[in-house]
Amino acid sequence: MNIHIPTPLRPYTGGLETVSISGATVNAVFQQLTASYPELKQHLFTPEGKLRSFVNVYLNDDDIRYLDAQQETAVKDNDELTIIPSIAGGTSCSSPAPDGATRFPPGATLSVQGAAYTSLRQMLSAKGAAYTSLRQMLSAKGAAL
Amino acid sequence: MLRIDYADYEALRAHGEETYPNECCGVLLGRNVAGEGNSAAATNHVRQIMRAGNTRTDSAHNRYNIAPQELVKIQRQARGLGLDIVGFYHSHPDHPAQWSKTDFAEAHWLGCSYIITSVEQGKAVTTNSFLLRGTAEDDKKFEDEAIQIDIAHTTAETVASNQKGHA
Repeated sequence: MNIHIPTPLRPYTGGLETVSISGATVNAVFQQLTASYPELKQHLFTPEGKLRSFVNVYLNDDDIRYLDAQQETAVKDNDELTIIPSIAGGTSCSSPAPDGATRFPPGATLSVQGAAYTSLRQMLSAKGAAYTSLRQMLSAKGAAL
Repeated sequence: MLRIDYADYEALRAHGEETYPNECCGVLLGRNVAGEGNSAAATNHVRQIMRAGNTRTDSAHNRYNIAPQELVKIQRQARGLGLDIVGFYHSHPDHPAQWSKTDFAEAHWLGCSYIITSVEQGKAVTTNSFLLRGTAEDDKKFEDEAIQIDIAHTTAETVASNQKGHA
């Protein structure tokens, strides 16, 4: 069966996005997967051998945690297994406020027609025109966003 | 470095304004140009952004979560487009565009870019990007990441082509 690997784990599969592994159950497939790519194991499982809490595994469109047999669920060659880490967050417990409130972050550059600028003001100034906004400049130049 | 078209950059900021006072979230599809997620020289080049639903309806003003099922579908779509998931974006309503402890604790996509836009009183203000570096959960860290915003796709291609020619 095909197993789809998320981008953070591809360094451990030789860069492969999809690997093909045989096995009768989800568990058997996992054992073969981690035997073929040993470095994957610590990223998928705790030292006690449990699937890490932030690692979701889908058998086709079903989360294996909610399947009756979970990791002992039988699989077929044409099934697909997708490994997908969770994504969440939010402002609760925020870090300290940043200094300044610039439109572009420090180090950001704006690339226009081959020239790089560190701020909108710098770019508009370099254009030698009294544009008050990027939209106004683009509009004047007949550019379509 | 993160590289993104101006239209996508504006679209993700607009998404934060639309969902205000709640957090928005979405996925960045593209390619890691150097092919090495943690290489200093690697660039997450965004080719497309995909909006996602925030499942944290219980606390949507200060938390976000993308349903794994939706992520699976987005990853499937990305595969069809020949793209990868290279990062995520979300907004901080009336909060700075800095990662929070919650953002860090729940960040697991090593090598990916996490864009945060502060939305103050309904207006998108600051947009920052943070690269999640590290090799595992115990050594991961967020680093400030430079953003290159391309005004026109053709321009970006020209620049890239010129640089290649000079190499």
